[in-house]
Amino acid sequence: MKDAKSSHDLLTLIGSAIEQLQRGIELFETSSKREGAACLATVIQSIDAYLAHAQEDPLLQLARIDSSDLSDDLQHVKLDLAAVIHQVEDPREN
Amino acid sequence: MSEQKDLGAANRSNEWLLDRLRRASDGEQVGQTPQELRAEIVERNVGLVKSIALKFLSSGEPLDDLIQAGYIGLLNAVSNFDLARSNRFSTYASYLIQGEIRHFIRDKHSTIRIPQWVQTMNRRLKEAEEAYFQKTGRPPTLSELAAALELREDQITALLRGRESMTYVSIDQDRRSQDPNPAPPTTEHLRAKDGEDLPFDFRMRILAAIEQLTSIQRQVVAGLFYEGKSQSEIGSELGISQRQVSRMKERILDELRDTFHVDRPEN
Repeated sequence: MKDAKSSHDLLTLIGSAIEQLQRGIELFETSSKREGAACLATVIQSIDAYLAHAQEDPLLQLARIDSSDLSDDLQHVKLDLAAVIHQVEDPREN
Repeated sequence: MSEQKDLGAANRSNEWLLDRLRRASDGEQVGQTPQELRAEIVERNVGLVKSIALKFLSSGEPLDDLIQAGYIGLLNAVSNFDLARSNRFSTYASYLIQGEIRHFIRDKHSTIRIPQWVQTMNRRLKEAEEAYFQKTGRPPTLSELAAALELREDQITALLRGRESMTYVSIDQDRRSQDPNPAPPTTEHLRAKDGEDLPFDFRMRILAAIEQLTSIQRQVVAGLFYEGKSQSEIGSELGISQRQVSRMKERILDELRDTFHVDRPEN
């Protein structure tokens, strides 16, 4: 059972994000690029939702994680995913 | 002579302008100099550069800097576009604009950072492969590698995928280190790789994201489990009960088991 804060802790975010990304890879490999991109978009939304409440995450203090470093790292993840989504939305025309 | 008729600014397509540019560059009189035609093409595609640069705003870099990087890609596209290949110019230009912006961001941020533990594991993998080859005269199978490293086969597969993404990064770094401004890929080159390059690029980026996330996860776990504090001490610091700390750690372990597909211990 998840408590109210569970959706805003870092490891829950990472666990669900990795699951979504692995599913995204499977979808891309089966040519469902749009669905794969939707998985990636979900991860970006989850990261945004987490970052909006990151200061309330006890894990950061517990694990002595610097929130600005973490934010930078997650921005890099978003950047990579956004680039893939952009390529899917703007397919090559030959 | 209808080809040479000026269509008016609103009706000039990229391809039409590029055709004129090629002819002007060959010495044909088309009513404009090559410089004027290049400037017109760039001006016509300013919106394309801006729209692509906007997609990278989450990098934290100023929009003007992203646009400047994008212009380099646009200028390369104008110089290298091959009309005979029948690709659309905007498709080719988008590819090069994105490439230059990504390169700019990587230079600034080292976007794709390979976590130290991934590098260590890959080194162990390589050593195990070499040792096996020296001993038997043939490369090891997946199960033999797994046995040598005391890992499961799916974990070895994950490591090999990680190595694939590292290889991709090093290729790009080698290319850029040999020449800071390497020649952009031609349209012919892109066509030749089409169909296999794009999915690989997707996979590389998603794997980089996963590696980044697992790296963060390891930082959290290291902070949680290797500081030598008791659950009560941690609870006191955070203003929560020892029981809450215990539950939190249990959930973290569950997440880790799910992520790495490790079986839960039986109670």
